[in-house]
Amino acid sequence: MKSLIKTTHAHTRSKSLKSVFLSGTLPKGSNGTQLPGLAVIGCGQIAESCLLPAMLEIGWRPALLVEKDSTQLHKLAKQFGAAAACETIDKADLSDLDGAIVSLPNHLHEPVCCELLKQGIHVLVEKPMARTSDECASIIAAAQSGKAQLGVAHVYRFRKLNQWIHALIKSGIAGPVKRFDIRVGNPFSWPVKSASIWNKHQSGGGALIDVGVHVIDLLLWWFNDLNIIEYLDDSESGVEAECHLTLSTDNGASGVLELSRTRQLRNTVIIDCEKGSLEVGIFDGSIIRAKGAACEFSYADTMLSNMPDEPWNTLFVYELKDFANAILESHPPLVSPSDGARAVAFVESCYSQRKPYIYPWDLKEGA
Amino acid sequence: MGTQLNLAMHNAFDGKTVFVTGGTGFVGGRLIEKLALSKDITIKALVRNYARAARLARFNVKMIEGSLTDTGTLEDALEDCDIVFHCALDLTSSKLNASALRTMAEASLKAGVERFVYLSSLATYEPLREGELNEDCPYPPTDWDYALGKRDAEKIILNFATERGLPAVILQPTIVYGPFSRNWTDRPVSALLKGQLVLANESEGVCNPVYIDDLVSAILLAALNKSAIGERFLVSGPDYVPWKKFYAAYADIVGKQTFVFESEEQILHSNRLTLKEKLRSLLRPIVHKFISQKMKHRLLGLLSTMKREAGPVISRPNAQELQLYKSKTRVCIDKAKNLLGYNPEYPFDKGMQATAHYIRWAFLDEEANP
Repeated sequence: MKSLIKTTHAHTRSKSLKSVFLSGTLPKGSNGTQLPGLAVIGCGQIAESCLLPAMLEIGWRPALLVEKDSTQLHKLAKQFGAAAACETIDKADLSDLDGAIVSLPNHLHEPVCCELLKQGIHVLVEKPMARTSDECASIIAAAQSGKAQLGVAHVYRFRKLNQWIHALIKSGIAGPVKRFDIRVGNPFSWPVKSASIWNKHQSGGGALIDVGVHVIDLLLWWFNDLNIIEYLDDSESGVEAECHLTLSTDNGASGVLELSRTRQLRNTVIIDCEKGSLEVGIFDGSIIRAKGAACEFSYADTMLSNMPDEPWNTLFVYELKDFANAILESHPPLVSPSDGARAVAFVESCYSQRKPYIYPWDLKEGA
Repeated sequence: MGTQLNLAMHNAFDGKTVFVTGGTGFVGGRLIEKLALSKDITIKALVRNYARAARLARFNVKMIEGSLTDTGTLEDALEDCDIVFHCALDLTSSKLNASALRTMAEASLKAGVERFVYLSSLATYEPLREGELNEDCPYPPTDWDYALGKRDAEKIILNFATERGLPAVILQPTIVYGPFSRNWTDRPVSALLKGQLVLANESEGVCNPVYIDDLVSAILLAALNKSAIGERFLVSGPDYVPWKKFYAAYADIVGKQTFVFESEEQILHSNRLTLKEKLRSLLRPIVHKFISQKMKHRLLGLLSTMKREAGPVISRPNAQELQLYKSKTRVCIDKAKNLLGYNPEYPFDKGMQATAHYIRWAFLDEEANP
């Protein structure tokens, strides 16, 4: 299997967005039955709740699981029928692998991705691609040197509604975007198993680089460009729980992005165009309201009125199918390394111009 | 924060290593925010559940993974500490709290800490007597587990202070409200926005509110003032308000008068009928008796989630609260003023003004989409 993969490296083939929008089917391997040998490196919550169940759904058994927590490792290996399990990557046999999903803490993305990619193992790396632009560059260089595919798990790109919004903006049917407003927040409840996410050195940051990087990827994709007018966050030498971004686009749109790890915010995106407007749920893909041209727009035979419901977990199924396609058909994954690196560079730029976010009750008392 | 927490006060913590339990919670969280204003301070915080550490992680805090049952962890964490702030409470077992307190007190003695500040509660005096309440008032008979647990804890601390020389201080805060107060701010606001806030017709009593920053001032003063050692201090705000005014202030802030007054009898009847209440009371003893400590936290967390998420939020006082809302006790804070130099800066109106900013910030989207 691996030798077959290595004979075809067609990075130049462009994939139309439409094909992703419509397909969602999984191509078979060269022998008609076999799927690529896939490892999941790092079996924390995202692997357990999203990635491995999505693999199971499409009948793709992991060739290898790597996880330092041996109890978790063996539990998941049994549950998802992994062919092999190992506590550390240096002890794992990588020789039969075609690809790997890297879902480790952020500080390990760069060293582990580089090691795999240099060996020609295709990689789907969890978001953020890495902590810094330098690390992203190093991962991209490793992919080039190993002639391996590299995808970044900005999973919301796979939501049909988000693809439809991308097409709506590009079409210009609703006129230019005038304003956008995004508020994303939930009291943090992700069942983290270590303090890594709270460690600035290991995570690279807080709400912005964590959930925020998903939103930033969508905005950069929808609008092409994004300028930072002001960035505020509440970190005090740790990682931010709250941040507030004032943004603009080269086409004259202005917008606000607010992220919170302590508050229940509306979790929606509002986009006002000259001839129509839209509010949709960022995580659940719900359509809250639409006006004007947005109601009439059709893309790939889909309008807002017949937009399919896509539960969160289905997005991971699409993502894995796309990665399998990338391995088997040797075309780039939907979310390219440069997309991943661009989002990280944007986050980095925000952090470099950070201003303090003062809580309103402290501001009023002059603290 | 106000003038009490001036630069000189923060300088007093420079070079110190402090250990905080309950740092992911309401009081401990704000305490850490204020401690972190000191330039050269090392803050260690016990973290039972990393998922709750978002506010704490904004600071350069050394998180110590563990719970109050992890004796070894507590001993190691306290080894090089100067000041201990014990704000955590394990609601699952008063026996466990007592045992954790002993462990922490022993380890603190061994480490030679300068101060051990223990956060108790006004609840120790419940059911509240009529008239003025001060630290000399005896504890009346009660069968309320929470109050009994706090009294036991105070005994342990005072015993360590008098017999073993632990430089301990006990603070007994009253009704602590303000940003992130789950019981006295978030809960009534959620009820007003998403359901109903029920009060008893008989709720003619007086509330002794204290804004969170005043309590944090008292905690910091208790850590610095030598005359605090071996003493208990009631900590309340500078004024009193009728309970109805306390809740009406929230209704004014959110612009919803979703108050319902029922008779005490009706409330008790409804509480008995609440299916979820029944389920919880059925499951709690089973969880306590048969499930391991770690699993216990998960299951109790799940039970409290059920409470939060199922249907509209109807906040109805429980038996303890019904008593509290009838009480006309006025808490005297002269001892804290005289010995600690405590000078609360948030009369109720000012505290509610600050809290209103929090409510608009935290509940803005829920207000827009009830």
